[in-house]
Formats: sequence, C-alpha cells, structure tokens
Amino acid sequence: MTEPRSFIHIHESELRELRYTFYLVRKSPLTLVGLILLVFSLFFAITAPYVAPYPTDIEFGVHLERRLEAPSLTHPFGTDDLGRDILSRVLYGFRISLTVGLVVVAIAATIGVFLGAMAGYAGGVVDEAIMRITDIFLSVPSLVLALAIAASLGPSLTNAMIAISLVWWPWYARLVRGQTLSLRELDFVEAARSIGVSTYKILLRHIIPNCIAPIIVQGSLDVGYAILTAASLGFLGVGAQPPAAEWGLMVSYGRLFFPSWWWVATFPGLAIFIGVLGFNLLGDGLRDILDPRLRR
Amino acid sequence: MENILDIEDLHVHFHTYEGTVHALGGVNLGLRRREMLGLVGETGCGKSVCALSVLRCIPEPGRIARGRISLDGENLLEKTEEEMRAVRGSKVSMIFQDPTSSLNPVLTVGEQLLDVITTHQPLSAKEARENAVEILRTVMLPDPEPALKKYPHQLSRGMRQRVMIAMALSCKPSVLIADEPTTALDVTVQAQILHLIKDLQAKTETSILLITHDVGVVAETCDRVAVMYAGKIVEIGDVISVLERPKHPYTVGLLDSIPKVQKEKPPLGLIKGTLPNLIDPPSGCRFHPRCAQVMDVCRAKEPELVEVGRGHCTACFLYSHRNSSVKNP
Repeated sequence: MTEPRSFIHIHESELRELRYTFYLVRKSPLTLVGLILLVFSLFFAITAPYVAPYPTDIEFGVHLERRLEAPSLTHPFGTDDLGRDILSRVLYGFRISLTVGLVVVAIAATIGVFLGAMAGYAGGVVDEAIMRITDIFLSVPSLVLALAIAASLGPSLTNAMIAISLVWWPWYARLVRGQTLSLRELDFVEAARSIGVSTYKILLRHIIPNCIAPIIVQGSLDVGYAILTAASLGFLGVGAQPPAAEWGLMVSYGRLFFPSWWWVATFPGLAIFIGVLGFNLLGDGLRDILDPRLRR
Repeated sequence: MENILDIEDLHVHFHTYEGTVHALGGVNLGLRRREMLGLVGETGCGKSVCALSVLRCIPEPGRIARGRISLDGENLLEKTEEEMRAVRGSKVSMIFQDPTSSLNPVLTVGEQLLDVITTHQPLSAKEARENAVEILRTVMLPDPEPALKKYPHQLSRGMRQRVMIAMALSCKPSVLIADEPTTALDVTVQAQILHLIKDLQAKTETSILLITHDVGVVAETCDRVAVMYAGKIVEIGDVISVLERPKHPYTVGLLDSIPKVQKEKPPLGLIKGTLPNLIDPPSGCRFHPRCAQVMDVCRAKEPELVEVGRGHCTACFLYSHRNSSVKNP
C-alpha cells in the first residue's frame, strides 16, 4: 500500500519539475525561438533527402538547361551555375552542418572535460602542465589555428571537424577545471574519499556529473559557433570540398555570381544565420533555465 | 591487544605561509574494542584533524609529522595509498557533521550507497541492492526500497544522516569515527540519531570514536571520554569519573562553562584568554597561559599523562608528583 503511493509521489514531483521547466521556457520567448529553430533544423537534417524537391541535385545533378535561374515557384531559392536546385542543397546542408556542430562539440567536450577534471582534481604539477598547454592553444586565435591544422591535415570535411575540435577543447578544460576546484573541497567528495572510493570513480561519479549544467550551456552555444567555423573553413577552401552541399562552400562559390545572381550565395548564407542563431538563443536560454538561483 | 585503535605520539603539522601550525602536538589515545569513546574540546583544538589522520585524509597542506596509528596491530602510517583505500570504509569509516553537504546532490541515495558497497565487496548487482535495502532497514529509514531511488534533497535531514550512517556501516567497519554527527540536527532528531548509533554499536560490536563539543551528548552515550586542548589530550577516563571529578584545570573550566538548569543561577564559569596560536604553541603545558593554578614547572616542561584514579588519567603537574606516568591510556 505504501509503495505505490510513494511511487506516485515521485512521479508527481517529477512532473511538476518538468512543468516548471516548460513554464520557464515559455517565459523567455527567445529560448522558444531558439528551440523552434533547433527543431526545424533537426527536422531537415533528418529528412533532407526525402523532402528536398530535387534530391538528385544535392551533389552531382547537372542541368545546364536551367542554370542560374532566379527564384521561382519551381525553384524557390533559384538554381546555381550547374542548374542544381539551391533549396534542395540548402536543406541537405542542415544535415552536414548539424553533424559537424554536434560531433565537434562532442569531441571537444570529451577531451576538455576529461583533462579539466584531472587538472582540477590532481592539482600541482599535473594541473600546471595541462593548464599551460591549454593556455598555448588559447593564445592563438581559434579560426587561424583551425585553419592551420585543417590545411596541414589536408582539406576535407572530416579534417576540418578534427581541426575545430582540437581548437575547442581548451574552453571546456578551463570551465571544468574551475568547477572541479570548488567541487573537490565539498564534503561529499571528502566523504567519498574517506570511504575508500577510488580517484577515478570520484571524478566520474561525483565531480563530472556536478559540472554538467555549465557544460550543456557551453556546448549548446558552441554547436552554433562550430557550424560557423566549419562554414568559414569551407568558405576558405580547407573545409568541405565540392560538390558537397556545405553552406560555407556554397557561399564561397556563390560569391563569383554576386550580385547579379545574388540567390546563389544569399540563401546558404541565411541558412548559416538561422542555424547559428538557433543554437545561440537556445544556449542563452538554457543558461537561465539551468541556473538554480532562478528556480523558485 | 586490548585496544583496537592506538594512536601514539601523533604530531600533525600544517605548513602555511605564516608558518608551521602544530595542530596535533603528540596525541596519545587508545580506543578499546566495543567501546564508545567521546572526544571533546573546543572548536579548533584538533579533534577533527585527529579523526582525519586515522583515515590519512588530512586536507592540504597538512602532514603527519611523527607518530604511530595502529589498527588491530597494523601501522596505518606505513601503508601505501592503495592499501589505505582498502582500509577506508571497510575497516575504519566516518560519519560527517552535515549530512546535507556530505551527499552528492546529483546522484540518488541508492547509487551512492551501492557505490560504497561494491567498492569493498565483490557482490553482484542484485546482492548489493538487497544489501543496501537491508542496511537502510537497520538504520530505520522508513520505506527503504523507494528511498533508494530518491535524491538527497527529497529526504529530511535526519533521514539523510541515517543514510550517511548506513553508508558508513555498510561494510561492517571495526572502527567508526563520528565527527559531530548530530551538530547539524534538531534536538529531537539528535536524540534519535544518538540512540540509533548506540543500538547499532551493540548489534555490530563496532568501536566508536565520537567527536563532539557537546558534553551532554558524551554523558549520555559514551563509556569513556577524552578531553582535548590545543592539540593534546589533557584528560581521559570513564565518563562518570571525568565528568564528576574532573582533575585537569581545563576540564574543570570546560565543565563549569556549561549552563545548568537550576533555580539560582550562579554566573557561568569561564576560562580566561583564548586558544593559543598553534604556529608558536606555549612552552611546557599548552594550557599554562590560561591556567589559574599555573606553577613554574608548567612553563618549562610538558606534562605527561598520569593516572589519578582507575583508568582516569590527566596531563597536569598538579598530580604528577605522586603518580607514575602512563604510556597509552
């Protein structure tokens, strides 16, 4: 008799928490816009090959008979110099950019969180060594460094992703180290140590889960920046290579036809804008929502 | 081998910018099997440092400079960090003052309890779970099964302290150190927790070192009591003889400063002065600058513990002329 009741109790309190989260999201319209943009991007990233009006145009379709057509009902975003439907390519670009953003953040966060937690928890020489390496990475402008790494690895989308991840982890390392420094002094960490829990387990179970909120915020902001950086690398020629439907590459390519055939560069550019804006708004909103001081 | 835990001549130093703090200046303490020993003293006199040194968990920049801590005949200070980890939790474990900050807020009670159990015992997930429920039942936590799925903030303070006790006892340690386990709790809950600890001790035959600054708690629960001042044990003995016939001037002062419930209210006794700065502790007896009965010898020599009654020892020159010194009470 008591058990089902307490089960319902837990269920209710969790439901209340969830409802409160929705309330906070609704209260901040910009977060809602970010969320909508994100859902929109995710939808196209998943369904691009099926909803694109001309799926064969995404990479290799060449239709010289309709090259550089202005936006119309049949081709809402116009066509490029090979006659490919720009709308189809832009939609497919969501898949590429989102993949880049998420993979880059996942790799960077994994490296950064691991090194940051180690540095913060171990202190001393380990801390100094890791943080000075971090400083070296941070002292070079990130785009320049990414450009250098990507160029030396050879221009391709995969290498661009590796390059951006290598440039980005120091931010996570710093963030997590700071958190760890304050967390390791807390009683429950000392209690865990006094009860014989190993260092590895303390990091994994006690330190890292307690820094997850700032990591999520930083991560969601960074997906946007990673998309932007990948597009920049594509634009500069060391990222995705033709005929990939990558936004940066498409803008760079469309530059040749600007301004007379403005649509070739403009629509991919707008797509970059929407993708980055969505993640930034969401990240800002999440920071407010996850801030415990705002809760109640 | 009467004592399960023996602390001999323990010196702990904290190396700070301002100088070396002599937090413990030669502590001698023995914990007998199945007894509950109270360790009382003012804030900052070294009670917690003493407890943490047994686990070798002294926070930076503290160092154990000298001494010997033997548990069941094994010197803990000679063990490697790896061997020490096997001791912590399974042979010696600790309950902390504030159950709120001693539990990880992002893990459920069950996850934390199971972590401790599986760290020291090779059990399957199912056995460990049954074990956890069983322990929570022993500490009288209502509804142990659903409690495993709860987060610390969903429990009351008293319940959280019960969980902490469950974690500390989960691997059946032979020594339990309770560092002010009831300070953060309400008086009624305090009584419940103390009774629980006392009951569990009777059942599990654990030896308990209870650290507190509340003499009332000691009087109610402990078999023996040790009084600490400025990093040294000044008096130790049976609760009744120490509390009723205190010998050391510091103990006398400490007991006089406790408010009593009575009709006529004499002014509270107080000990003049403050705790000495342990970077440069007073010469001789560390209590001499505040002692009303100070003699010349107190400034020159450090007093040793001498027996003044059956099992009742004190470190004071007022008694040393007619008694022989005792090595480790």
